[in-house]
Amino acid sequence: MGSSPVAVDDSRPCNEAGNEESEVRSRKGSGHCWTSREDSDVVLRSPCTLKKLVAVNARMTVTQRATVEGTALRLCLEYCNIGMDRDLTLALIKCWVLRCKAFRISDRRVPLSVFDVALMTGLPTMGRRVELDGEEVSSEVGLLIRGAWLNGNSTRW
Amino acid sequence: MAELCEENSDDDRVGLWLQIYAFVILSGVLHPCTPYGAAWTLLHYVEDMNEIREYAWAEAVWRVLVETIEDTQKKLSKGPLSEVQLNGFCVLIQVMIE
Repeated sequence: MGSSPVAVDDSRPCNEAGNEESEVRSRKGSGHCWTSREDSDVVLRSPCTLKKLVAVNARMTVTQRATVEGTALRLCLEYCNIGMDRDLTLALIKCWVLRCKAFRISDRRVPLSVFDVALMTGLPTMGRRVELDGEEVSSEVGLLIRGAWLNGNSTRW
Repeated sequence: MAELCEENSDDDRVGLWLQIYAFVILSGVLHPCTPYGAAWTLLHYVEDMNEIREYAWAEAVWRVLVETIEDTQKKLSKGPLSEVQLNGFCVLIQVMIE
């Protein structure tokens, strides 16, 4: 685990002459061009279990709710079940501008920043960096969760 | 995993329940990467629930989201696909636009 504050550089200028892959593809025709026929064939899958979290939230006791409210995850209690709109998601992915970390919508660029994620999720932006590929650590709660998982009670989220 | 929350839902075990609940959020909602596994490397973050507030979780969610958008765009650009998996809290990208 790191201990330094997270710094994300969202401030880089995004000029028109930048190497924006999706624009290069569509404008110069040197690469792949999106077509509507391809869209209709792609199935999008998401392992996100928001629906199950919303169900757990709906069934929790007063004590459990009060316990969660005392943590950094308190705003997860307010999450709603939102289904993924396949066409919208695909369209947004296709108009992503790599260099700017933004969606190109018509003539505008709509950046996706850490602060947007914080606003939508209620999660902290500042603090230690979360290492997503760190070492696995054996612990009491870990053994319980892994045990239940391996016993087949929770093999899917 | 949500079932494990139910199994440990007695109020006298609320500490353990909270750890499982937090793991459900971290691994299943914020950073999911497979429908059949869990983000076991995140398990140690729920060890001490007082420490969980010390981490920049929004930045971690953003990182996975950007990575999955860019990976998917790259895969789609290579040609027609029958199926593609979006990791992370991917519904956020449509929430942002709506």
